[in-house]
Amino acid sequence: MSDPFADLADELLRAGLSPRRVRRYTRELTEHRQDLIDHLLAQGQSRQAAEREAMARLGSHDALLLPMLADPRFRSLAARWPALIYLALPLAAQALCALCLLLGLVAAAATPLRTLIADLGTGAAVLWLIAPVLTCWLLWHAARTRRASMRWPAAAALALSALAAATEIGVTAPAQGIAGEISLGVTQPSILPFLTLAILSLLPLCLERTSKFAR
Amino acid sequence: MAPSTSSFLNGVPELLILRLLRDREMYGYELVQAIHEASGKTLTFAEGVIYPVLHALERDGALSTRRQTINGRSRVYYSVTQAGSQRFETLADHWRTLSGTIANMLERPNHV
Repeated sequence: MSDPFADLADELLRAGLSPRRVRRYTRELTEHRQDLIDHLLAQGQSRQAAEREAMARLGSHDALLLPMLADPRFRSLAARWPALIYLALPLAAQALCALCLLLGLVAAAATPLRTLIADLGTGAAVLWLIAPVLTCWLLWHAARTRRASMRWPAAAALALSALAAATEIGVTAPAQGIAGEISLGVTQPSILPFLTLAILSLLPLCLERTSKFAR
Repeated sequence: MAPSTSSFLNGVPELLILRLLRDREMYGYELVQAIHEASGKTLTFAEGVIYPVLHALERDGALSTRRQTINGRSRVYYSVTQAGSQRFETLADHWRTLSGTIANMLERPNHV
Protein backbone atom coordinates (compact mmCIF):
# COMPACT_ATOMS: atom_id res chain seq x y z
CA MET A 1 0.00 0.00 0.00
CA SER A 2 1.49 3.37 -1.01
CA ASP A 3 2.04 5.96 1.71
CA PRO A 4 -0.58 8.70 1.26
CA PHE A 5 1.71 11.18 3.02
CA ALA A 6 4.94 10.41 1.14
CA ASP A 7 4.70 13.53 -1.05
CA LEU A 8 3.90 15.67 2.00
CA ALA A 9 6.93 14.25 3.84
CA ASP A 10 9.16 14.92 0.85
CA GLU A 11 8.03 18.56 0.58
CA LEU A 12 8.49 19.14 4.29
CA LEU A 13 12.02 17.72 4.17
CA ARG A 14 12.90 19.88 1.17
CA ALA A 15 11.59 22.90 3.09
CA GLY A 16 14.14 22.16 5.81
CA LEU A 17 12.11 20.47 8.52
CA SER A 18 14.07 17.88 10.47
CA PRO A 19 13.52 14.22 9.51
CA ARG A 20 12.48 13.49 13.11
CA ARG A 21 9.79 16.21 13.05
CA VAL A 22 8.51 15.04 9.65
CA ARG A 23 8.42 11.38 10.74
CA ARG A 24 6.42 12.24 13.84
CA TYR A 25 3.96 14.44 11.92
CA THR A 26 3.30 11.86 9.19
CA ARG A 27 3.05 9.06 11.76
CA GLU A 28 0.41 11.03 13.68
CA LEU A 29 -1.47 11.79 10.44
CA THR A 30 -1.32 8.10 9.48
CA GLU A 31 -2.73 6.99 12.84
CA HIS A 32 -5.40 9.71 12.71
CA ARG A 33 -6.38 8.59 9.19
CA GLN A 34 -6.64 4.99 10.38
CA ASP A 35 -8.83 6.04 13.34
CA LEU A 36 -11.13 7.90 10.93
CA ILE A 37 -11.32 4.91 8.58
CA ASP A 38 -12.15 2.56 11.48
CA HIS A 39 -14.88 4.96 12.65
CA LEU A 40 -16.41 5.28 9.15
CA LEU A 41 -16.26 1.52 8.55
CA ALA A 42 -18.08 1.00 11.87
CA GLN A 43 -20.76 3.37 10.56
CA GLY A 44 -21.27 1.04 7.60
CA GLN A 45 -19.33 2.79 4.85
CA SER A 46 -17.39 0.80 2.26
CA ARG A 47 -13.59 0.64 2.53
CA GLN A 48 -13.05 2.87 -0.50
CA ALA A 49 -15.57 5.49 0.63
CA ALA A 50 -14.13 5.46 4.17
CA GLU A 51 -10.59 6.03 2.89
CA ARG A 52 -11.77 8.85 0.62
CA GLU A 53 -13.72 10.59 3.36
CA ALA A 54 -10.91 10.13 5.89
CA MET A 55 -8.43 11.92 3.61
CA ALA A 56 -10.98 14.68 2.91
CA ARG A 57 -11.56 15.21 6.64
CA LEU A 58 -7.85 15.31 7.40
CA GLY A 59 -7.44 18.20 4.99
CA SER A 60 -5.99 19.02 1.61
CA HIS A 61 -2.28 18.71 0.85
CA ASP A 62 -1.79 22.48 1.29
CA ALA A 63 -3.85 22.57 4.51
CA LEU A 64 -1.49 19.97 5.99
CA LEU A 65 1.68 21.47 4.51
CA LEU A 66 1.42 25.23 5.06
CA PRO A 67 1.00 25.37 8.87
CA MET A 68 4.18 23.31 9.28
CA LEU A 69 6.07 25.60 6.90
CA ALA A 70 4.73 28.72 8.64
CA ASP A 71 6.53 28.02 11.92
CA PRO A 72 10.27 28.69 11.48
CA ARG A 73 11.01 26.85 14.72
CA PHE A 74 10.27 23.55 12.99
CA ARG A 75 13.23 24.00 10.63
CA SER A 76 16.27 21.93 11.52
CA LEU A 77 19.62 23.42 12.54
CA ALA A 78 21.11 22.10 9.29
CA ALA A 79 18.48 23.99 7.28
CA ARG A 80 18.95 27.24 9.21
CA TRP A 81 22.75 27.20 9.29
CA PRO A 82 23.97 24.86 6.51
CA ALA A 83 27.43 26.43 6.30
CA LEU A 84 27.96 25.84 10.01
CA ILE A 85 26.65 22.26 10.09
CA TYR A 86 28.03 20.99 6.77
CA LEU A 87 31.30 22.93 6.51
CA ALA A 88 32.52 24.74 9.64
CA LEU A 89 31.83 21.96 12.16
CA PRO A 90 33.40 19.20 10.01
CA LEU A 91 36.50 21.39 9.50
CA ALA A 92 36.70 21.98 13.25
CA ALA A 93 36.28 18.23 13.85
CA GLN A 94 39.07 17.50 11.39
CA ALA A 95 41.37 19.94 13.20
CA LEU A 96 40.42 18.33 16.52
CA CYS A 97 41.20 14.92 14.97
CA ALA A 98 44.71 16.13 14.13
CA LEU A 99 45.20 17.34 17.67
CA CYS A 100 43.94 14.04 19.14
CA LEU A 101 46.21 11.98 16.86
CA LEU A 102 49.19 14.13 17.81
CA LEU A 103 48.47 13.93 21.54
CA GLY A 104 47.88 10.17 21.20
CA LEU A 105 51.29 9.71 19.62
CA VAL A 106 52.98 11.89 22.25
CA ALA A 107 51.28 9.88 25.00
CA ALA A 108 52.27 6.58 23.34
CA ALA A 109 55.89 7.73 23.17
CA ALA A 110 55.97 7.93 26.97
CA THR A 111 54.81 4.33 27.38
CA PRO A 112 56.20 0.90 26.40
CA LEU A 113 54.41 1.50 23.06
CA ARG A 114 57.32 3.76 22.07
CA THR A 115 58.98 0.77 20.42
CA LEU A 116 56.09 0.75 17.93
CA ILE A 117 56.03 4.51 17.48
CA ALA A 118 56.90 4.41 13.77
CA ASP A 119 54.02 1.99 13.07
CA LEU A 120 51.68 4.07 15.23
CA GLY A 121 52.73 7.12 13.24
CA THR A 122 51.89 5.34 9.98
CA GLY A 123 48.52 4.31 11.43
CA ALA A 124 47.83 7.91 12.49
CA ALA A 125 48.72 9.18 9.01
CA VAL A 126 46.33 6.66 7.41
CA LEU A 127 43.55 7.60 9.85
CA TRP A 128 44.18 11.24 9.05
CA LEU A 129 43.55 10.54 5.37
CA ILE A 130 40.55 8.26 5.90
CA ALA A 131 38.78 10.59 8.34
CA PRO A 132 37.77 13.31 5.84
CA VAL A 133 36.45 10.70 3.38
CA LEU A 134 34.27 9.05 6.04
CA THR A 135 33.15 12.48 7.29
CA CYS A 136 32.07 13.49 3.78
CA TRP A 137 30.13 10.26 3.29
CA LEU A 138 28.29 10.96 6.59
CA LEU A 139 27.57 14.54 5.46
CA TRP A 140 26.26 13.28 2.12
CA HIS A 141 23.98 10.80 3.92
CA ALA A 142 22.72 13.53 6.30
CA ALA A 143 22.02 15.94 3.43
CA ARG A 144 20.32 13.22 1.37
CA THR A 145 18.08 12.21 4.30
CA ARG A 146 17.08 15.86 4.65
CA ARG A 147 16.65 16.38 0.87
CA ALA A 148 19.10 19.26 1.32
CA SER A 149 21.21 20.86 -1.36
CA MET A 150 24.54 19.08 -1.91
CA ARG A 151 26.34 22.41 -2.33
CA TRP A 152 27.65 22.59 1.25
CA PRO A 153 28.61 18.89 1.54
CA ALA A 154 30.50 19.25 -1.76
CA ALA A 155 32.29 22.34 -0.42
CA ALA A 156 33.14 20.38 2.74
CA ALA A 157 34.54 17.53 0.62
CA LEU A 158 36.93 19.93 -1.14
CA ALA A 159 37.88 21.79 2.06
CA LEU A 160 38.48 18.65 4.12
CA SER A 161 40.46 17.03 1.28
CA ALA A 162 42.62 20.16 0.96
CA LEU A 163 43.23 20.23 4.72
CA ALA A 164 44.13 16.53 4.82
CA ALA A 165 46.43 16.85 1.78
CA ALA A 166 48.12 19.92 3.23
CA THR A 167 48.77 18.42 6.67
CA GLU A 168 51.41 15.84 7.42
CA ILE A 169 51.77 13.85 10.62
CA GLY A 170 55.37 12.74 10.83
CA VAL A 171 57.00 10.29 13.24
CA THR A 172 60.70 9.59 13.40
CA ALA A 173 61.61 6.73 15.69
CA PRO A 174 64.54 7.35 18.05
CA ALA A 175 67.83 5.90 16.90
CA GLN A 176 71.08 5.36 18.77
CA GLY A 177 72.01 8.71 20.25
CA ILE A 178 69.33 10.55 18.28
CA ALA A 179 65.99 11.54 19.81
CA GLY A 180 62.83 10.64 17.97
CA GLU A 181 60.44 13.25 16.64
CA ILE A 182 56.69 13.65 16.35
CA SER A 183 55.63 16.48 14.08
CA LEU A 184 52.55 18.07 12.53
CA GLY A 185 53.28 20.16 9.46
CA VAL A 186 51.05 22.24 7.21
CA THR A 187 52.19 22.94 3.65
CA GLN A 188 50.62 23.67 0.30
CA PRO A 189 48.37 20.68 -0.55
CA SER A 190 49.89 18.25 -3.01
CA ILE A 191 47.74 17.83 -6.12
CA LEU A 192 47.60 14.03 -6.28
CA PRO A 193 46.60 13.39 -2.64
CA PHE A 194 44.10 16.25 -2.81
CA LEU A 195 42.46 14.93 -5.99
CA THR A 196 42.42 11.36 -4.68
CA LEU A 197 40.77 12.40 -1.42
CA ALA A 198 38.33 14.74 -3.17
CA ILE A 199 37.23 12.04 -5.63
CA LEU A 200 36.77 9.48 -2.84
CA SER A 201 34.87 12.02 -0.72
CA LEU A 202 32.57 12.98 -3.61
CA LEU A 203 32.08 9.36 -4.73
CA PRO A 204 28.57 8.86 -3.25
CA LEU A 205 27.39 12.12 -4.81
CA CYS A 206 28.85 11.18 -8.21
CA LEU A 207 27.34 7.68 -8.09
CA GLU A 208 23.93 9.10 -7.21
CA ARG A 209 24.07 11.61 -10.06
CA THR A 210 25.19 8.88 -12.49
CA SER A 211 22.35 6.55 -11.47
CA LYS A 212 19.82 9.42 -11.89
CA PHE A 213 21.08 10.05 -15.44
CA ALA A 214 20.95 6.35 -16.24
CA ARG A 215 17.20 6.10 -15.30
CA MET B 1 9.56 32.32 22.55
CA ALA B 2 5.76 32.23 23.06
CA PRO B 3 3.73 33.80 20.23
CA SER B 4 2.10 37.14 21.04
CA THR B 5 -1.54 37.12 22.15
CA SER B 6 -2.16 40.56 20.69
CA SER B 7 -3.05 39.33 17.18
CA PHE B 8 -6.70 39.91 16.40
CA LEU B 9 -8.06 36.37 16.24
CA ASN B 10 -4.96 34.26 16.67
CA GLY B 11 -4.77 32.08 19.69
CA VAL B 12 -8.29 30.61 19.41
CA PRO B 13 -7.17 27.06 18.43
CA GLU B 14 -4.55 27.12 21.19
CA LEU B 15 -7.18 28.35 23.69
CA LEU B 16 -9.58 25.50 22.88
CA ILE B 17 -6.85 22.86 22.89
CA LEU B 18 -5.40 23.98 26.22
CA ARG B 19 -8.89 24.14 27.76
CA LEU B 20 -9.74 20.57 26.74
CA LEU B 21 -6.34 19.12 27.63
CA ARG B 22 -6.56 20.70 31.08
CA ASP B 23 -9.26 18.12 31.91
CA ARG B 24 -7.28 15.07 30.75
CA GLU B 25 -4.49 14.03 28.40
CA MET B 26 -5.55 13.07 24.88
CA TYR B 27 -4.06 12.06 21.56
CA GLY B 28 -4.80 13.98 18.37
CA TYR B 29 -7.84 12.10 17.08
CA GLU B 30 -9.40 12.06 20.57
CA LEU B 31 -8.83 15.81 20.88
CA VAL B 32 -10.54 16.52 17.56
CA GLN B 33 -13.55 14.43 18.64
CA ALA B 34 -13.62 16.35 21.94
CA ILE B 35 -13.65 19.70 20.07
CA HIS B 36 -16.53 18.49 17.86
CA GLU B 37 -18.48 17.31 20.92
CA ALA B 38 -17.81 20.36 23.10
CA SER B 39 -18.79 22.74 20.29
CA GLY B 40 -21.94 20.81 19.39
CA LYS B 41 -20.34 20.14 15.99
CA THR B 42 -20.44 23.85 15.12
CA LEU B 43 -16.64 24.01 14.88
CA THR B 44 -15.38 22.12 11.83
CA PHE B 45 -11.88 22.26 10.43
CA ALA B 46 -9.32 20.17 8.54
CA GLU B 47 -8.51 17.67 11.29
CA GLY B 48 -4.85 17.20 10.32
CA VAL B 49 -4.02 20.83 11.14
CA ILE B 50 -4.42 20.08 14.84
CA TYR B 51 -0.94 18.57 14.80
CA PRO B 52 1.03 21.70 13.81
CA VAL B 53 -0.77 23.55 16.63
CA LEU B 54 0.03 20.76 19.11
CA HIS B 55 3.67 20.66 18.01
CA ALA B 56 3.98 24.44 18.36
CA LEU B 57 2.46 24.36 21.86
CA GLU B 58 4.84 21.58 22.84
CA ARG B 59 7.72 23.60 21.44
CA ASP B 60 6.61 26.54 23.60
CA GLY B 61 6.62 24.32 26.68
CA ALA B 62 2.83 24.55 27.09
CA LEU B 63 2.35 20.81 26.46
CA SER B 64 4.23 17.66 27.28
CA THR B 65 3.92 14.35 25.44
CA ARG B 66 4.27 10.65 26.03
CA ARG B 67 4.11 7.84 23.54
CA GLN B 68 2.07 4.72 24.17
CA THR B 69 1.48 1.67 21.98
CA ILE B 70 -1.93 0.04 22.40
CA ASN B 71 -2.95 -2.97 20.28
CA GLY B 72 -0.12 -2.22 17.87
CA ARG B 73 -1.27 1.39 17.42
CA SER B 74 1.17 4.09 18.43
CA ARG B 75 -0.36 7.10 20.18
CA VAL B 76 1.21 10.37 21.25
CA TYR B 77 -0.66 11.67 24.29
CA TYR B 78 -0.58 15.42 25.00
CA SER B 79 -1.03 16.98 28.44
CA VAL B 80 -0.84 20.55 29.75
CA THR B 81 2.20 21.73 31.70
CA GLN B 82 2.25 24.47 34.32
CA ALA B 83 3.43 26.91 31.66
CA GLY B 84 0.52 25.74 29.53
CA SER B 85 -1.95 26.47 32.33
CA GLN B 86 -0.58 30.00 32.63
CA ARG B 87 -0.73 30.40 28.87
CA PHE B 88 -4.38 29.25 28.96
CA GLU B 89 -5.26 31.86 31.61
CA THR B 90 -3.62 34.60 29.51
CA LEU B 91 -5.39 33.52 26.33
CA ALA B 92 -8.74 33.15 28.14
CA ASP B 93 -8.47 36.66 29.61
CA HIS B 94 -7.57 38.06 26.22
CA TRP B 95 -10.52 36.26 24.60
CA ARG B 96 -12.99 37.49 27.26
CA THR B 97 -11.83 41.08 26.75
CA LEU B 98 -12.00 40.70 22.97
CA SER B 99 -15.43 39.07 22.90
CA GLY B 100 -16.79 41.70 25.32
CA THR B 101 -15.45 44.49 23.11
CA ILE B 102 -16.93 42.97 19.96
CA ALA B 103 -20.31 42.42 21.70
CA ASN B 104 -20.33 46.12 22.73
CA MET B 105 -19.45 47.24 19.21
CA LEU B 106 -22.28 45.15 17.75
CA GLU B 107 -24.76 46.70 20.20
CA ARG B 108 -23.60 50.26 20.09
CA PRO B 109 -20.70 51.09 17.81
CA ASN B 110 -18.97 54.11 19.39
CA HIS B 111 -17.97 56.12 16.36
CA VAL B 112 -18.91 59.48 14.89
